[in-house]
Amino acid sequence: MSTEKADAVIVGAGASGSVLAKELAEAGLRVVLLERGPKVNPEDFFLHDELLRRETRPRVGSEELFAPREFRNQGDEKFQVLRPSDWGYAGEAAIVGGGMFFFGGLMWRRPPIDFRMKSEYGAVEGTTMEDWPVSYEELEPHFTKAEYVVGVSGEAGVNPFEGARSKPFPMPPTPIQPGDEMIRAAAKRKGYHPFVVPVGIATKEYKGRNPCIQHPCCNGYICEIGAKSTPVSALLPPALATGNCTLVPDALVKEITLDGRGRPDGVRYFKNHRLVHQRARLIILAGSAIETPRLLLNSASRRFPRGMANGNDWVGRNLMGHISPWVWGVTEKTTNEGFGPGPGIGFDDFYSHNDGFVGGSVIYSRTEVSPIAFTTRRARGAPLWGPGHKQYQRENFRRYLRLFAPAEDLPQFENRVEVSPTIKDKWGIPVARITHSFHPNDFRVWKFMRSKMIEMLAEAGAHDITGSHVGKGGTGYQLGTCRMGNDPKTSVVNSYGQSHEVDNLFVVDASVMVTSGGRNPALTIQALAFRFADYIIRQWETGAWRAGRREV
Amino acid sequence: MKRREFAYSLAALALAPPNILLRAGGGQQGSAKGLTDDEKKTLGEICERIVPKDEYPGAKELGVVVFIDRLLQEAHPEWISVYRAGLHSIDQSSREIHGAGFAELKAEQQTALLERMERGDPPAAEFFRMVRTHTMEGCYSHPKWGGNRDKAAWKMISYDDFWA
Repeated sequence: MSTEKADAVIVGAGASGSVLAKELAEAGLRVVLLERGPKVNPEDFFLHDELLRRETRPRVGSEELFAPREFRNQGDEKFQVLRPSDWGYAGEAAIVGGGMFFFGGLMWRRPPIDFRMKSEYGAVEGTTMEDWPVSYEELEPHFTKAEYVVGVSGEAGVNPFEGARSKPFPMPPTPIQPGDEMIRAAAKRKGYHPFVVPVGIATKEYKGRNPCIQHPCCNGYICEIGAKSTPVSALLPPALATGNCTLVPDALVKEITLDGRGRPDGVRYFKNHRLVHQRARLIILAGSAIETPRLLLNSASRRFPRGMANGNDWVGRNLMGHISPWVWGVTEKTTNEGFGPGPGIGFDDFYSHNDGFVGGSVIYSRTEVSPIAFTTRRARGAPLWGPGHKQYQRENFRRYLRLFAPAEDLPQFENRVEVSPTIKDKWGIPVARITHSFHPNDFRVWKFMRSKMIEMLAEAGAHDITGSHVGKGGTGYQLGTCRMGNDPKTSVVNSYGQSHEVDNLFVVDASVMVTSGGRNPALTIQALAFRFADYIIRQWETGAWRAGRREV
Repeated sequence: MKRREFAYSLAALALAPPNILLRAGGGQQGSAKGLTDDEKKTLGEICERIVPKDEYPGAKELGVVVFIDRLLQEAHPEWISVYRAGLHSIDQSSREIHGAGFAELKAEQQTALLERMERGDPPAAEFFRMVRTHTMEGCYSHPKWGGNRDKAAWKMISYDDFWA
């Protein structure tokens, strides 16, 4: 089965693919947007139901959409097979809108230092830490555009560690809870620089979208009123309104196809158990830092024996996440009046130039908690059932205080995504096999951030302070794997997301990131996507990629 | 019965197919689909020890047995045999130690048995963990799932549910 040739086919309707779909369709390109997961109408979906969220954990979308994966920490270990419900699977979403559809809302600009880590710190042994091929200043207009298109609320001019911004936030910051005020006051006492964290949540009516109703079950839930700034609420409606964008849900891409001369000319995907060939001039990959390299590696051919665009064996390399400690406790006073959305006060005073290691992280508070989740939020050794547990549940449910740090995970060449030679998914496609372990620097960051958070909770008056554990490896966020860079020998794509080897192939998702930074990645993913879209549109208008014009 | 034997008997039961367990259970009226009345009675006692009645309702009053029964039948039929094996094993241990079924024991005896299970070898400890998790889910989830009757558990922790 074959279809009309599109100008661009985009694989993945999440954070980045939806940006490309909107921008290219508005510029007049005929776009086909493929998504392996279903299209869900938020209003028909389950509302803020904690049990249902737990039952569908870790992601939305049917479990059978997720292929098993193999995982190990080190090259000398055997791979363990992980099912989607296993811890460590590193799952993303399989749904139109991607993980942002139900994300916690954090929408950070990464500070300028993130883009020049090697210049700032020098080389770090055992890592592939490098400067980005794009600076904060170059990306600034795209950060601004992303903030205004999708809608970000926040407090500008308060955080001295942030880069210069050309415009304030489009919306005022979210309301915060008494516990956040405790953290703000404690941070000020310590001489830090607290601010209300930026979130992709509408705090007022924004482009026809409803403002936030402050439901306490927010992080991890689909917002049925559309207050969350997600691809579904902010990007896909304008993309589809152009008439140039065809969204195809439940479309699982198998491979990138080549024309008779060995040039990529589209993708083949499964839809209703049939294999469909979608031809396109441009192939744009936006499937996540695990699924994108998997697709490239599964698209090996005589011309690309090691996988598409993988002549230098860098596809799948440098897989990163964040090594994220979190710390919680309870206080003597009410920390939460029963409202969401949750993200509260942050400070960047330990973001960089800490003693004894590279990198750092923002620290921020989250006071929201839901009833079932709270049943395990106890100090170590405290009873997890019985009369004491029940009493603790009712005395402290509203007195919970938590800090989180999405800390730096440095890139390492051997942390990687490959495809399994033995295991295939139910469509017969080889599954991803992942190798990931933390670098000694990562553990130092983790330990340091954790100790700073414990200090801060104590300063804020909390007791029963307890921190999360850390494993040997694994990724909660998935970044890296198709690095962007100016040198074709040590990167997969250039600073516009374009493959060094194949000029009509783009990678636009979190795969391109050079370092992980100490921030949740969503806004940076989208700022990069806007930059890539700009470049593609400019090149398109000059006549690149017209049939017969350019050969590889 | 020694602790290790307790754990091993649970492991053996968990590995056995459900039809054998039904026969081992002494001809109880067990349907392969759901738990029997006797099993539910034992389960209710375990749940009640996990979230006991004080000035606020306990697990039984909150409807947690209804919740778990639904969870098993409607969402996780693969866990029914695990539950069945675990419940029979607890009851058997209770009979060997105290000469009476788990449901007939005093609350302190029940608690002691569960504490031993919680600290026991993986099969017993994991089964207890599973029941504990499901009990908490039943108590603190939306009443439409069968537990948290009259939203009593939410009221206890002053959880605002005006959107729910």
